[in-house]
Amino acid sequence: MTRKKSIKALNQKARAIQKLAEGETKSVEALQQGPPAMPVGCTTIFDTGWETNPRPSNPVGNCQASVKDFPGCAGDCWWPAQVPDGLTNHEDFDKQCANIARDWREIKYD
Amino acid sequence: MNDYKPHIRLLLALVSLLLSAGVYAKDMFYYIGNEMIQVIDGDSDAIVADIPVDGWLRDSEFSADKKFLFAVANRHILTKVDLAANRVVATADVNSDGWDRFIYGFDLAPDGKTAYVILLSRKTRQGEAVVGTPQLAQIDIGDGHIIRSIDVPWSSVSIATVKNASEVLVIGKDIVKVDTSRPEMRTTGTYPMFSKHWNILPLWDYTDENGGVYMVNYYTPDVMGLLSIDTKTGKISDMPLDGPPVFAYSVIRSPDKKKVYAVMDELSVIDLASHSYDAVIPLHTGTAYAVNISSDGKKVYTTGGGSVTTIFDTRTLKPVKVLQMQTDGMDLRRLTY
Amino acid sequence: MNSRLAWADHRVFEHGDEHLVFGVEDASLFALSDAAHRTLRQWRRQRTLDPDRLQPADLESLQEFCDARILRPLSPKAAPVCRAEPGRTALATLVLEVAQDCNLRCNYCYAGDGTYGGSPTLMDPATSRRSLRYLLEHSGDHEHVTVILFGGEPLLNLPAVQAAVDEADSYGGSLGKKVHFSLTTNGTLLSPEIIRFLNDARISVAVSMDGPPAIHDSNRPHADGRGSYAGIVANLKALLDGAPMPVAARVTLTPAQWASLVEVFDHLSGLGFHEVGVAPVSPVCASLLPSREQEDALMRGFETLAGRFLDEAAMGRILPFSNIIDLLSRLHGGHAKGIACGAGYGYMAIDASGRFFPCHRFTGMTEFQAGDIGTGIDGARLRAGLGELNEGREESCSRCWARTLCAGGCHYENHLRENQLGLPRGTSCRFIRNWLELGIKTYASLCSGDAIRVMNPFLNKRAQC
Repeated sequence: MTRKKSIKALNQKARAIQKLAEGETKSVEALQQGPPAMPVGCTTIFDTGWETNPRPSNPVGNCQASVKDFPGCAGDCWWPAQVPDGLTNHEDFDKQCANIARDWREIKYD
Repeated sequence: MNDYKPHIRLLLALVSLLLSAGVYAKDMFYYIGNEMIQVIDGDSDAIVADIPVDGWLRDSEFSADKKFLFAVANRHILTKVDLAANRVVATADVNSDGWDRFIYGFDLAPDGKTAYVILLSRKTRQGEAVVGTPQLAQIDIGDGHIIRSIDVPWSSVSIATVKNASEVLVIGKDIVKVDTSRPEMRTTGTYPMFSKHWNILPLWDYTDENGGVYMVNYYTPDVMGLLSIDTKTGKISDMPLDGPPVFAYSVIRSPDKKKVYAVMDELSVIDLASHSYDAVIPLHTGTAYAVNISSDGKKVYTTGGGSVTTIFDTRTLKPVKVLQMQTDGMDLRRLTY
Repeated sequence: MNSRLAWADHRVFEHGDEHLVFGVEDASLFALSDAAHRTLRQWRRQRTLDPDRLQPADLESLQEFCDARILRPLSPKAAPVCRAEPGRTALATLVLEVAQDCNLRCNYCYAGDGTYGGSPTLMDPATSRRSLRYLLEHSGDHEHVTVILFGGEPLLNLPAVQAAVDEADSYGGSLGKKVHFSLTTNGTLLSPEIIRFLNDARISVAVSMDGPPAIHDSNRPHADGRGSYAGIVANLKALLDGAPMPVAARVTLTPAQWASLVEVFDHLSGLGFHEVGVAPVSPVCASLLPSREQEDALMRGFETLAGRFLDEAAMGRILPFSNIIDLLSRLHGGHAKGIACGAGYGYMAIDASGRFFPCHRFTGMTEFQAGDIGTGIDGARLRAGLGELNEGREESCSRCWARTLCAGGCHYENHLRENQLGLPRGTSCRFIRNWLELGIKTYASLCSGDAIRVMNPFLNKRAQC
């Protein structure tokens, strides 16, 4: 952010908070290019697993909940993180959570 | 758990009678889920049976005699479902000798006793991971043991058995042709895709529903196209489509061979004659992995991803029914009597 | 569609010709430009804002407030609060009352002439050792723990002090833990031998002195009535010269003396103390309750010293006034307090007979006793005592902007005012808020000059204490 700040951080906490905000702005830009809003990468490793919508249809340029890609991406571990991998560590994840929208509270994998 | 066993048997008996008279075809749809397969009656579009299984299911295929459904659980357990009794009657594990194996792609062989699969494998040796090379393998579906195998390239995830399974086409970055007609399998050629900058995710196989045509969508940097393999002749053809690409996980051809339906966040209708898109309809129920179609071409079924099956009227392209499935799932398969 | 925005709890301060905003939950401090202040004034009248209804220009000017977390997405639920419970934290500090006895008769003593309402008792050296072991064994993952040698007058019981130091070396050493010792003394018994012992053991010493002779002697006479000032000063130079750790003066002033704050500070820093910390006396009886005028006089004294702090800081020096230094360090770090004090949460006191109390001030009060060295700290009784004292306090604090800097205040002070003197809750609040506001403005002034660069390392280090 090169814009001049009209709110100046004084203590360390304030500086940390402003730094967080800077970080947020940059990463939002990096995930999307366009128009049309094409996703540049499916998820970053620390996101929950959002998939951006590159189509001009709703939700425009926005993310949709990872719940709709959970069964395919868990199990075979398509995502690098945040889902139980059925191939190695959590072969039985679907026993806890056969229906993610209904059973997400049951997930105990870590 | 719904169990309409007696009802089904009677119905099937009636159906076979009618079929032998050439009057009408009866569709049954099988929802391939987690820990469960659910049976949908293709006339009433009602869920008529729940079949508990152990594990998360991926590839599946019906036996030629339509009596059984084979589905792979957890990528290594071959699960055999009796379709009259609507229950699992046998399982076979391909893991052995300390190897963890992972099945991608599954085609039953004409002998009814074996199947062709792609196997990835790994084991641990003295605390270190040992990764096997990908194989096209012919396995015994009774006990899961490997009869014979051949190395195939990395990224192979799907197969098409062609020419009465005398040849197996292995689809990955390219298509590798494997001659299986002799005791020892051998590679005979490659159909290039990677060098053409093609991108492909061939995880849903509706060869049987398509009447013997293996069809998947591929992407170039500019367009989406349809890759088809005629499993009778082994001929591979591709059809790039006009217009901005739609996004699709899976595609299926209409019974009249005029249209192809593709699904991801929308249901897209592709006209094969003009190789362009007729319509793109957002799925109000959200992303779906799988698409299937009634044998009369009047209804399209989208499902997978979440736990919802949305049924469309192909004439109006409007959703006519939404079924809440018990579990999340991968696929929907059609068996037509 | 963007979610609605709501103003986070904040407080605006006028500071010279600029404005400061303090974010309550975050303990964050910002300076506002004129334009930003105008924006804030314009929009904060609305509790919530709908971004979809705002002009792009307004949204842009409000964006910085969002970045500063002064404006936040409206959330239907409050964020979950981490609740620590007394008696469920690893011990970090133990106050060892090695002597419940004293050779002075300070007229404001909360310890009732050092005995805490009992008969004079000295801690058995064996109990002293056991206490050290208890601390070390219940210190969880802490590599460093602190023992405060206290009383009455701790130097009346050298055997117990020595035992504690020895046990710290041997047992602490065997557990790989380091024990830091502090000692608070009335300074009348500082012989050369004792001074040598304190220096060798690297004990941080605080000497209780109340200022120039007139003030000090009127507060802190010997049992026979004579003043104690002269005797302390006779040994003070020896203590100050050889000390490996900074020596602090610990000052108590009665409300009548509060107007003399600056004089007291100057006198004691003039004697050579490395730091001077001033405590307004705890109202152990009604006559020690301050009037508003007296509170204001004290605040003016603090303001004067705060101004001096800034002057010194501009020269690259640190005015050794503990009160200001501690407050600025906390503001510097943006430490948001969830609990007022560590008493019961890793800080405990043990009396000469081996009984546990949440802090030294509560010694002898049975309703706050929480176990003994034989049976260990009684968490349930600890929680009961403090719980009853603080019942409903959080609710009454919940609307105060200073809650993350104060968090309810000293338990003992509250107990005296509310339970012993029967005052309603909140009689200290005005003063505390004024003090915190002074700290915020002083800190902001520090930031506006070059001094903050000099102060940074010092404040960072102090913030960790």
